[in-house]
Amino acid sequence: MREVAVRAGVSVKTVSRVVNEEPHIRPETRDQVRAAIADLGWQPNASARTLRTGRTGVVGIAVAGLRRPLLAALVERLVMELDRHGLHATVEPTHDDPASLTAALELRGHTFDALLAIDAPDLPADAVAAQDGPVVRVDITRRLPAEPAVDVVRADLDQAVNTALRHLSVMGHHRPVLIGPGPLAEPGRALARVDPGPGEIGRAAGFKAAQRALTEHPGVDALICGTDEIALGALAGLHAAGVDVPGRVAVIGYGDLDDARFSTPSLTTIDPDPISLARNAVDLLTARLAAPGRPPESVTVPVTLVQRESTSAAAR
Amino acid sequence: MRRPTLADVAAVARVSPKTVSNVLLGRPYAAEATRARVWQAVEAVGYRVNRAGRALAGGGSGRIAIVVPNLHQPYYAENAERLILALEAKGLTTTLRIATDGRSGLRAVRGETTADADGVIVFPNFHPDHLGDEAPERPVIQFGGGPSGLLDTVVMGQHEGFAAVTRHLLDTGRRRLALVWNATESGLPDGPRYEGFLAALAEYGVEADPSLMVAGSDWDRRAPGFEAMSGLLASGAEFDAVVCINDAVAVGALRALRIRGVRVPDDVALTGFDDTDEAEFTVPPLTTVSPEHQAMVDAAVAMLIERLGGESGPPRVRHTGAHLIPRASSGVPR
Repeated sequence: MREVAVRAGVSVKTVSRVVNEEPHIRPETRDQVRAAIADLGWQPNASARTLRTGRTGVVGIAVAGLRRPLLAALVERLVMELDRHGLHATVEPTHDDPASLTAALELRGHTFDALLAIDAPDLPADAVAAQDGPVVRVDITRRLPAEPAVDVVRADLDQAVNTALRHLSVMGHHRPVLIGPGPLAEPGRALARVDPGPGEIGRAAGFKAAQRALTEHPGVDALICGTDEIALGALAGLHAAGVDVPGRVAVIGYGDLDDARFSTPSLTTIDPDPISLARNAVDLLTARLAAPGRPPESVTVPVTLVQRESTSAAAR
Repeated sequence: MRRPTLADVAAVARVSPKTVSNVLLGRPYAAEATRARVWQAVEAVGYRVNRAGRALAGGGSGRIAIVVPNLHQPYYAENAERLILALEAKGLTTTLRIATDGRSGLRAVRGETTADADGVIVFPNFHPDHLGDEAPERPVIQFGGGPSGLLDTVVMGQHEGFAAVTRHLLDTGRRRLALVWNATESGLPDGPRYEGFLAALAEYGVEADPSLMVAGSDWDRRAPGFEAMSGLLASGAEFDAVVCINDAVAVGALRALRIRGVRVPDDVALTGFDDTDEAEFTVPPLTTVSPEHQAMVDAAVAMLIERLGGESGPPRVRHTGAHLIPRASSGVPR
C-alpha cells in the first residue's frame, strides 16, 4: 500500500480510505489512487481490510452438501436475505464432517464475520463461545438439542409429523408405513417402517423402499416419507410396480421441493418455510453483530401442510 | 525446528522472494525454468504455505471460489457439488459464491468478491464481451458457455448432445418435433443446442416448424416448461415429440402433458438435457443427454491446478463430449 501511496503522491491513510470507499474524498484524488493501484497491479485484499475495519461484510453458510435440493433451496434463501442486509455470503460445504465444520468456524474473524450453520450437530461449545463472531444454527431437517450458547432457528418438526399423521387420518388412511431417513420418519414412533441401507437418502432409496413397504406390509395404505426426495422416488417406484397413488397408497413428503408440484400425481408435502427460516436466521445474526452481549434466542418456525394429489385424488 | 520461510525457498531457488511469491500465486511473470526451480525449492525445504500470512500478502488462502448463478437449477447445484468434491480430492478447500446476475458474476471473476480465493471456477452468466480485454490476474476457469479468449474454458458438448437426442427421436419414427426453450431476447431459439437440433433435422430432411417452438416467461425452471407446454397444447398444434432445452423445463412440460391426458411416450415422446438427479425418477423416466459432467469437472480442475502450478500460456479451451441416455419417455409408440 505504501508503494501505491508514493506513486499516487498521497498518504497511506488516503489510499486506505479510497480502497474502503469512504466518503469525502476528492474525485481527482480517488482517480490518482486508482490509477496507481492499476499501474502497480496491487490488490487490496479482504484480510487487510478486515484488520482495519473489523468487518468483512461477509457471512459464512455451513451446509452439508448442495446435492440435497432442500438444503440448496435454504442456502439460496439465506444468500438472498443476507443480500437484503447488504451482506455477502460464502458457502462452506462440510459433507457432515466435523473437521470441515471446525474449519468453517475458524474462518470467523478473518474470512467472514459470522457463520450460519445449517443442520449442524456437535457445534464445539468453546469454538462457538469464542469472540471470533456469532454463530446462528438453522435446523431444517434435523431435530437437534438446544444449545444454550447459540442462537437457533428451527423448523417445527414435531408439528410436521403431527400434521402429516392427522392429514392422513382425516383422509381415511390408517395403516401408514414410515420410510426413512428424514424428519417425517424419525425412529421412535410405534409405526411400521422401512429403512433404506445406510447412506441411502435420495430418490433411488425411496424407489426401492416403497416397493419393499408393499411386500413387507401388504396392508399399507400410506407412505410417510422422510423427505420429498424419498417421496418422489417412492412415487416412481409405486408407478413402476403398477400401484395406484393415492387410490391404493397415499404418499406424503417433507420439504415442498419445486419438483413436488410437477410430479404426477403431484406430491402432498410439509412446507418448512425456508423463506421464514432464512429471514429469522439473518435477523438474529444481524441483531447479534450489533449487540454481541444479548442473550441467545431460539425461534421455532411453523410448518404448513401443502395438500396435493398424492393423498387425495380430488386435490387437483 | 524452525518452520521454513519464503526467504528459504528464495535462497535455495536463487531468486528473489517476490519471484517465489509470484510463482506460488500462479502469476504469469516468471520464466518456465524459474518456475520449475521454485517448485523444486518448495519441495526441498518443505515450505508450507502460511495461510494468514499469505492472505495478508495479497492472496494465497489455499481456497478456490466456485461461482454459480443460483442453486435452484439442479445443473448448478449438482455440478458445484461435484467440483467441491474434486477439488477436495486434490487437497484444495473451496468456497461457493452465488452471483445472481451478470454484473456480480463479473465482479467475482475480477476478484472483487473473491479476494479470499487463490483461483476461481465460474459458471458464466455474463456475456463474454463484458469481460473486457484483460485476463484476470489469478487463475479463473470458465465452466461451460462459449469461450471468450480470456479464460481457460471447458466447453460442454451441447451441439453434439442435442443432435444425438434429436436423431434418436427421428430414428424412432417421430417427425413433428416441438421445441420447448428458454425465453431469448429475439424470441426465437438460439445457441449450440438449437444448432444441433437443426443439424439433425437437416440430416433427415425434416423441416423445422417455427409454430412448434415455444418458451415460457422465465428461465431454466419447471414452471416455464409447464407454462410453455400448456400454451402449445392450447394452440391445437399437432406434434409427436417434445424436445426440451433441459431437464427442469422437461419436468414442467411433462406435467402439462399428463394433466391433459396426453400419454408419454405413447402419444408424444419427451426429452430433456443435463441428466440431472431427478430425470431418472420422473414418471415415466426422462430420456435426456448426459453432458458428461464428471469429464467437465475433471477438465476444469486439471486446468486450474496447472495454472496454480505456474502454467502461464494463453487461455485454453477443452471440449467435452455428450451422450444420449434413452429412457421410457421416448419409448417407441405402440
